[in-house]
Amino acid sequence: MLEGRKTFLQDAEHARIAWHDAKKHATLLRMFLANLHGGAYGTMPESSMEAYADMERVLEEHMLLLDTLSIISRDANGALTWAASLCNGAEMVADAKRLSKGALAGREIHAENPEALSVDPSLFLYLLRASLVVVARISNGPLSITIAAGASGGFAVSVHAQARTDLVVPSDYLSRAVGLAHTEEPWQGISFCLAGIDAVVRSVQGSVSLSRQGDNMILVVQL
Amino acid sequence: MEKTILFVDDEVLYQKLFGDALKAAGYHVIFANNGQEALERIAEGKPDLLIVDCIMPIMTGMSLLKKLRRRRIPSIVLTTLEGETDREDAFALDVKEFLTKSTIDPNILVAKVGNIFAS
Repeated sequence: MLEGRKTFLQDAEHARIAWHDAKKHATLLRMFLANLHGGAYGTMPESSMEAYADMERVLEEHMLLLDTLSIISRDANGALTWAASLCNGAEMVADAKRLSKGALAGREIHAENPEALSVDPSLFLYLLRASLVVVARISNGPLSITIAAGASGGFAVSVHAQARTDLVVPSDYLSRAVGLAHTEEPWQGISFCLAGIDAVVRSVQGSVSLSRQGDNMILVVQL
Repeated sequence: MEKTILFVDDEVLYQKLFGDALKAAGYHVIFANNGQEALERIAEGKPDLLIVDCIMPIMTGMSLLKKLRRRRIPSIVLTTLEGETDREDAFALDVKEFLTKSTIDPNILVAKVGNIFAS
């Protein structure tokens, strides 16, 4: 690095444009896939549907990774005022559901207290989407996500899923996953999500925990 | 009467994706590749609504909106930027909506446009 030159994270304007460009290209790819699936380029053969579903899921995860880095970058250069906006919770859940279609694979989302959270919309949506990927991938029963801001605010989302009997979630899952200790599927695929949630939440002085209560998988994010 | 929307974006694929959805919903859509071109389109006829990207060559969306402030044309910012400062700057120019492309799809944009015309 040249002496005196600002790093990527220190230069707010550089980072702002760079993330804009990166997300622009990822968004174009997302829309291209949606159009492909919607028949804009002709009918997709049945044999391609599995490949399409894989592409959709992988793209969702890549966009999450991009968001992780973007949010940490914005926070590092002082461009993230995370409690500045009052989010429309119902719209956020609808957006998260649409943008996590591949991860959810038909699971239903129900939100409680959907109007209650004052937090940066991009941060809130990121946390919802990343949390959905985590709990959807490791579910073996009903799932729930709680995101809370401050002492009074709280936002809970329940994800209803078919029971998965082939997975047993270890009690130290979160700490191990955050340390990227898991190398086998399905753990490997969601480690980056947990690591991302952990890094983002800690960067705004929050906390995150993952636990089980009976058949319930519970992810709690406190901002 | 058919409403005219001026869609300002330097990315042709966005023009196609969002423009097609707006046309399918019954709107007359005209396009500009940057703020300067948008001013030329507006000189030919005032649109009922502007949909404006932020980062564009020659003239940005924010510069365009500043120049048009006294014309009172309802506007939506449709961008990949998502910083609070960008949002605040846009609302300071009286835009009706600030939408991020990475989280929206064309049908949602059409619904937002419908809400603005209905109000």
